[in-house]
Amino acid sequence: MRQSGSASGWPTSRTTTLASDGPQPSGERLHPAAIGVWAFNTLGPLVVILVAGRRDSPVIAAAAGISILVGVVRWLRFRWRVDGQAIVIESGLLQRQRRVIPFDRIQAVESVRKLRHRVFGVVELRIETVGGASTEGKLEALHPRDAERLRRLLLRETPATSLESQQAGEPVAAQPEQVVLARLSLDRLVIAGLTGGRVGVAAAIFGVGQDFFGDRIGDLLPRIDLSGDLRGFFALAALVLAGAFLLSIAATLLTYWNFTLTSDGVALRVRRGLLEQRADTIPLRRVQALHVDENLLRRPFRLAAVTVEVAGRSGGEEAQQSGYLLPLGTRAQALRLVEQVLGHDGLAEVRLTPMPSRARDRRLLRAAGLVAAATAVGLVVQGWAGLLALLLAAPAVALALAAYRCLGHGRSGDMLVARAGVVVRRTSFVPRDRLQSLALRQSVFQQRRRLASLALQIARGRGARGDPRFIDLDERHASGLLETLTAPS
Amino acid sequence: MPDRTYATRMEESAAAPLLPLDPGVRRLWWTTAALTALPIIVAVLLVDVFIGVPLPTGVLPVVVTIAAVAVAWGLPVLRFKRWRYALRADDLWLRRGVLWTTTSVIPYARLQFVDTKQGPLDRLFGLAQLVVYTAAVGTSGHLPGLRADAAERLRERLADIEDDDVGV
Repeated sequence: MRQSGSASGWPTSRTTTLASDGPQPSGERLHPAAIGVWAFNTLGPLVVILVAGRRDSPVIAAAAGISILVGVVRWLRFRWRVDGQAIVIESGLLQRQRRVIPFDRIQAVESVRKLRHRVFGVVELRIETVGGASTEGKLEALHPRDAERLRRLLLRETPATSLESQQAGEPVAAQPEQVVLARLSLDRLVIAGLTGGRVGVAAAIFGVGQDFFGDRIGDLLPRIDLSGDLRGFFALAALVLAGAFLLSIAATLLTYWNFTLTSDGVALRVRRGLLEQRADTIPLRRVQALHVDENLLRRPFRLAAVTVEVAGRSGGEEAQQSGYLLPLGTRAQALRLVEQVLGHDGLAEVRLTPMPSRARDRRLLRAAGLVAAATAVGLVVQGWAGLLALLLAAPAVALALAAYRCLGHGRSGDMLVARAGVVVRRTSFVPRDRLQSLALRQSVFQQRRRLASLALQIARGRGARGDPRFIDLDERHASGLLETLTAPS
Repeated sequence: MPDRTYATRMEESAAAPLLPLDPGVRRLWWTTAALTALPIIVAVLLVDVFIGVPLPTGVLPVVVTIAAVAVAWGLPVLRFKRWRYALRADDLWLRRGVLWTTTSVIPYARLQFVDTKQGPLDRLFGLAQLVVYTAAVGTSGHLPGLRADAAERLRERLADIEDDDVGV
């Protein structure tokens, strides 16, 4: 991709506001079901109100009428078309907007079938580009056939291998061979739910719920005296935990039902979902980095998940779910997948180098500091009983040592491997040519121990975990990498 | 510029001078620090006079004022002393930060676009900021205190650097 000038290639999509008396819009409309899809959101609550027995029927009828009318006008004013090498979307109820998204800026295309789309038998197509906080292009209701055609057109990539076949006269529409890279069986899904990060979230929700409805839960368990009875407390805790696990399993089943990852050599396709079906297409050349994540619960069983970094993915839970190339698999399976996607053999055999032992000392000192602080607070608040906080020393030291053992860095040809994190150990695989910039960071504490951290800054989504980093490298090694990693080879 | 060897590139990079920011940026930083410190001092004074703290009246405001003035005056000085940037053969090099030092290397080939910015305070002191973006999340490089004309020249220069393949 070549840029015409430093200022013109960015932003990745161009939005212009059109005069309301401008030229007649041209292009295709969405599927008429769009009106239904839009109205679904507003009508849903109305139906609930009706069922709940608030029968202010005229008001509700008026509200429903307005929402449908708005939908009709919106549908009438929505046009999209393919114009050369870009897709043009014109929309807007009162103020009309035109958005132009050049094909070569598209990072991924996702097709979504939520319940409201399935009712009408249509598909929503989402187009992601670099930058921007939200999805850049949304076609909210298309006939599945049109959606599929458009998806192929948008990601019209001509790899060197298939160029010949195209010149040989084969039609573009020819379905390339799809190779299945990963699939998730039911038992794996259940295990994923049992060991996933959702357990914590669900437990928190349950905990908050219990705070609010504590009394009522007490009513449910009439034999247990909640006030001060330790057995009651443990019974509740067990209930919360069991509920959290069930909730987590249910959520995982819904989200990753029938998870299939395929590749045709040009793009990855991820299909998943029970009620809400999604099909995500990620061109292989848009993959910025891969992560192999192993949390505390999964590490003893040598289980791992694989996530992908694609530029411009908007943040939030949905994007996080879309990032999975393998929600759960064995470690070996995960590494094999990384090798296949990045097209780089021998990654499973890469031995990571530990960081200097000074990095371990740093972590031990930090743990000691924390325990000392906790003990001091305990002494002030609880008197001599506060000395019990010293018992924290054992787990704190164990955690510090584990955190140090999780750190590692390695390299295999032009592939950089960085590992860090103790609760969720993440091993990141970053192709060197994906580096956008490098940042060497050093705190005063690191400076004293001649350590420094190197951030491998890549074009990624706005995830919570930031760029892959070599944490606590030897300072001279880190400055050396800073000079050589981005040098044109 | 593919004819240069790796060794010459490294040599040129090493030879690129490490430039400080414009000294005027300290005045800008002092101003913003004063604007942050003043409300804190006033708030502490009000609390001390009207609500009271378990200390003799006047002790807390004096201590807070001394600390705030020391930080507000000292931090900009240290920040300015630490700040260096260099236009090297193939990349922009930046070093900044007092307690946490960050050294960034941003290859010209990765630059997506370059901006100059001038806020009201910048204008007051005749300064401008230069912001460079790559495809990485957020701002990749930020030079806060340059003379306005120097920033403009730098922007032109960076924009003129021949584009390499800047695919994402």
